[in-house]
Amino acid sequence: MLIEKRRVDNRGRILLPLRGIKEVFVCSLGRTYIISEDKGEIDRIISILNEKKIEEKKKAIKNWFAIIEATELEKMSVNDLNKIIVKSIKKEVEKSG
Amino acid sequence: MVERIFIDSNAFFKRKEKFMEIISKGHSLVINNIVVYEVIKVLDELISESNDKKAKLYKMLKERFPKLLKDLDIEIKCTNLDNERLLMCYEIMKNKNVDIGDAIIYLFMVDNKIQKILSYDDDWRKFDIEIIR
Repeated sequence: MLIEKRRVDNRGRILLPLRGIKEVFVCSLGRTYIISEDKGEIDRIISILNEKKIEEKKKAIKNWFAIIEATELEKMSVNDLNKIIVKSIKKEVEKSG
Repeated sequence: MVERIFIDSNAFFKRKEKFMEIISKGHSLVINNIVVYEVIKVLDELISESNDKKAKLYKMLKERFPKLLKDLDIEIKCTNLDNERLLMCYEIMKNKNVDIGDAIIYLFMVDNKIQKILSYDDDWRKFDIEIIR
């Protein structure tokens, strides 16, 4: 796999060495672009990237809830959580005099 | 089909499995400033009330929260209020017997055409939205 540096002209265009190709598909992922004459290939790359992203997200959730489980916060009811918020706001009001 | 799902503050503290399920389906997740406020308030209070060992864990959660939102690509949006919209919140509070936080979240969901919420709060049953739990 080779990453090449190409100049962008003052109208935002780049020149690609795609001799004999009449049109390409472009997929933008934020500031990254995937360009191919084969739409299926772009779909395949997107699918791999999505799977990878989902795995990373699952890992983030796993790490977060590992701490939640250690604190036993999961056992707390929604009502208890709401009471904590109210208590915290009350404290803040009292503190401000 | 990818859907937009609102994540209530309590969902950050309960049931990992449901969160995993939503992520696996590739849905896009949204919160507003009320949720950020509530999550941090809960953690702040728990930090101040707990023993050293637990306080350390709550501090860890508080520090990690922004990273979690970023890692999960959770969109943080702000609920804009003016006097007219505040009066709408009062109407919601009165008609549905909910607090101001829920009223603002509901208004936010309507504005943003979000039909689903991940929440363990039964108050959401009073609204015409789908609750995921």
